[in-house]
Amino acid sequence: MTTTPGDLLALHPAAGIAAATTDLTKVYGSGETRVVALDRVGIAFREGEFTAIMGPSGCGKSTLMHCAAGLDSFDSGSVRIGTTELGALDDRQLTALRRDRIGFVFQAFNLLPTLTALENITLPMTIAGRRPDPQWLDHVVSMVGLSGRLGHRPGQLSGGQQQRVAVARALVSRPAIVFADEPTGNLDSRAGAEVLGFLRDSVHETGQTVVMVTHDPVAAGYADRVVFLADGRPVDEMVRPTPDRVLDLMKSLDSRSRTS
Amino acid sequence: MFRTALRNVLAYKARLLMTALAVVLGVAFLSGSLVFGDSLGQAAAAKATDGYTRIAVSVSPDAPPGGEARQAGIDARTATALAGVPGVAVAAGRVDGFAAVADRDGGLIGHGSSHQGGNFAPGADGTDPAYRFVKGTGPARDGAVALDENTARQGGYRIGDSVRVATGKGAATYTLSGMFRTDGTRLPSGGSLVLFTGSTAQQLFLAPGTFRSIELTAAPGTTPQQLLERVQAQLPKGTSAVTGARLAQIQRNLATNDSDTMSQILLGFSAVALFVAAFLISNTFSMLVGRRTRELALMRAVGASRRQVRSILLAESVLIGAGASAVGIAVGTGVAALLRAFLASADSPSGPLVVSPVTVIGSLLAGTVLTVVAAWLPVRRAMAIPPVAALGTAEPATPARAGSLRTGLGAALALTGTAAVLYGALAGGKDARTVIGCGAVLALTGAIVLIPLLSRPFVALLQPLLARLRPVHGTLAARNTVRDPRRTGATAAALAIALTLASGLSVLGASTARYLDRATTHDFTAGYLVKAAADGMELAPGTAADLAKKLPGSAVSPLDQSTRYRLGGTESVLTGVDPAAIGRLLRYDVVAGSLDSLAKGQIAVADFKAKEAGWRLGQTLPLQRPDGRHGSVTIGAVYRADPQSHLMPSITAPDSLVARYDRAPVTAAILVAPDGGPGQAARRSVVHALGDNPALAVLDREGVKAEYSGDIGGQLNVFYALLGMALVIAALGIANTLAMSVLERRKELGTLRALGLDRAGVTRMVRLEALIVGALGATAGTVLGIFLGWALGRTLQESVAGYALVLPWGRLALGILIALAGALLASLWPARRAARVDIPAATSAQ
Repeated sequence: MTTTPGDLLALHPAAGIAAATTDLTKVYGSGETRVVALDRVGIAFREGEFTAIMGPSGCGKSTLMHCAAGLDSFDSGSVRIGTTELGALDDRQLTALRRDRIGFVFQAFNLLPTLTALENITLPMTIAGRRPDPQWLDHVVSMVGLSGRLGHRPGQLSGGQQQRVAVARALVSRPAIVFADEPTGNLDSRAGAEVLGFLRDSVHETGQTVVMVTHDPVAAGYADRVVFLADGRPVDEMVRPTPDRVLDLMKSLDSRSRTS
Repeated sequence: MFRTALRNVLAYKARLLMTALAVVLGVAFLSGSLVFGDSLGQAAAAKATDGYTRIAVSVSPDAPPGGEARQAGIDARTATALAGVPGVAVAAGRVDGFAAVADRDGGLIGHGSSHQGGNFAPGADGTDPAYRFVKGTGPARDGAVALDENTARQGGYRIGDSVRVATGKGAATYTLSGMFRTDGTRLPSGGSLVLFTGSTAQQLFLAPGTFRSIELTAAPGTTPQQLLERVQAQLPKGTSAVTGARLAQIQRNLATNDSDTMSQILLGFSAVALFVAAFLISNTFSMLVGRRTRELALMRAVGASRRQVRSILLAESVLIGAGASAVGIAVGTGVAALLRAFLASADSPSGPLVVSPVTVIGSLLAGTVLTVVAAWLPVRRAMAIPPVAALGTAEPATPARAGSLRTGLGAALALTGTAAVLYGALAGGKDARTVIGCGAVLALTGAIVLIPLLSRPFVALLQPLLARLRPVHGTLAARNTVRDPRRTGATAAALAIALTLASGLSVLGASTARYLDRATTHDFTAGYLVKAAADGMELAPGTAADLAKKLPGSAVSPLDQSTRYRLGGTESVLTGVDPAAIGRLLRYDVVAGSLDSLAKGQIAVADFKAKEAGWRLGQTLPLQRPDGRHGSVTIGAVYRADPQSHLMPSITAPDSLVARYDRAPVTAAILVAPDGGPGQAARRSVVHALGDNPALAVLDREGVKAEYSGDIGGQLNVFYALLGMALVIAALGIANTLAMSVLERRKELGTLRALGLDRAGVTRMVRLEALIVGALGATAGTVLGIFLGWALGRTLQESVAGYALVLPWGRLALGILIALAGALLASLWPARRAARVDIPAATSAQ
């Protein structure tokens, strides 16, 4: 079950990989204040798989997601989305890549308050100057159960409803990969379960690739695979996780890092 | 409490920078105006009086009743007698009059109305204390002249050169003997001064052996007052004496009046600038209070009372107001110094910069009070923040929709104002302009109150277009601007004020210019108009006849003004013209009879004059002059004319008829249509035929227009430049609002960037927001400005026939474009900030 860092990529063939990092390193500050946020991370996300990234606060899981999603720059190593190498792209190309091939779900929903639910859902397509496929749009909207609320502004929706809009927004352009950053962090457990259900359904029913950063073992239980990070490097991995097993592993990791 | 306020000011210094900048600009404008005005006034007063310090007593003839003071003089005997009064050091006889100096091309040197000639009056030592020679000497023989330094330089003259000088007695050539400096009493800024020998000056300006005045200098030990008493005892009848100090006092008052007008105009614009700045200040405080809701609520929660919160915020505003005002005064003084340096040509008297205590205290007070007053409303809103807000959500409370009180108040103000303006414009009357002025202030205030409400429909109107052109940022920009209508409104209002004034002025300016154009050159069909180059001078009798003789084949006619006729009981002025030539020189729109009747000794009458007096064609009117001459004239033609026309006579008469009743009619101008049409050569031959006289101006069509319409364009440009200041402040306001809104929307901007809007897109969105706000302000301001321009124009129409509304579309469009460009410029920095938002940090922000 436990593998050494850097081996995760080698375990899987290049075909069927939605995104992958190799020797990904990110350092903040310099000298005395130097902090290595990511330490030569090699990790691959398979197509059609729901991966959760877990780890204690400050382990680098958010930084990993930001770098992998082309939101943040990195110091060395490489990140690929499909076959595209992110390090070689300038800001404009990165932006286009996010727009066309990546979907995002944020902890704080991040809907635009001046746009209606429907406008928020189609925003990435509008930015790209494309029209959403009406059938697919209908499918996504009805899947997240928002059909009656498309004309509402975010301010008129509950937190759970807002995050459902955000999930629909991430799925509507059929991106190569969806990154979700603590998607249940601002939700009560029932609303959180709904959102996680939608993400899992999208993976299992339509083959969507989803990567989720979370610290909640229950949320991780919805994933197909959990990758554990500590001190900026992957330390463990679990396939077909359950909340209890995840919690156990977390505890053991915690004690291990405390004793080390 | 004070320390908390100070700490807050420092903590928010970046955000307060722009508020402070608005105060600085407004106060700089105010203090700059005051310093500039004071300095100018003092310099002008000093210049106007410095020549009198040397003079103890001046003796001059009393003005005889009925004007015509210029013919009186003091004879040589009196002058000698005065020189003998005990205590008199020097008695200098002075003669002066009009004298114009030509440059090498025959053009007049100097402008304004001061083209003076005088006499060089050397004392026993051969010098004249009033003039200090920098080169050469004073004129020692008739036929020699000295010129003031500036005039000599402008003409490019050197000692020994021939200089052509014109006086009332015609033009003659003199030899230049020297160049001098003198005081402002003798030589006002921009004028020219020629010194002749005493005898030449007497011959040219007065009569041989007589002086206009005698200037007495006191011997050591004699006070001017003592001298005055002794002199008065000896004065012949018809002359009087005053001290130099008294003369200086009179001149100082005159000089101060002039610079006061200038100061008042500048102060008016300062008021506008401060008013606009008030919006910016108020807006910034609202935004700051909005951003600090949680902090203020926390203070309340831990036990600060409402009053304490208010005191802290007000103390902040006092700190900012006073600090920024102090900087503003320094900047304003600097600007005034620059302005002085810039205008320190020969035209403006120089002198030290005057920063009076009134300026400093007034500006400081104005800036501080303005800041506190502008901060008052936002502070009151802050006091309403409940302590529980400290525990509430992170999302800032959505600002209240514009209340119905605001709507009602705004509508009431706007309607009352509009009604007053309409009433003033349509009903007219003596007080129309006052009514319109008050109405304008009300309407403008109403518009300012209503602009937040207008922003929604305005943006709703624009949005479909924007959404089609730019689906993402067009829609977002449009919606962002109406998120906080109050803020958008206040931002746009500042711009609207500047645009209201600018467009109102340009409507009035264009209408006036068109009217003046019609009044001056519409009737002008001659090639050239000859008139005295200096104001208040007239042409020598016989000039027209002489010119006609020298220019065979050309049409030449004088416009001889002959006044004080009673024509059929109506007080009238006859204009004598050459009947054979006038038809080619002025555009007579004859509605009855024929202009040929002039040749038969009949007169032609303008329609408005005929109507006013109740005359008709063919009527014979009795004619009477005050000196008893009388006769009768017949109306041979009636022509349509604009009563305001500067050229078209109200009654045209053959010059032979005028000559019969008036021995010395005043030739106001001579019209010339050169043989073969106007052109360089034709003009030269006219100038030559006039004796190369620099005192005579030969104006073509454009020259005539410029002569009579004055420098309206130039004045308007000065006003536009001043309004530019208000525009700069308004643009700062836009920058401020955008910067604040970019800051507040960091999370949204980060999300947009994450979802795939590139930096250029974000930049465009912020830029579009600025443009929408700019368009709102510019549109509202322009519409209001046109309305006010129209209304004020209506009141002019009553007194000025022929005035008609002209909408200068080009100028108005330019105003809007400049406003939009200002808005765009204002968006540069906020847009840059927005585009460079740190995506991971912004998207994970709570």
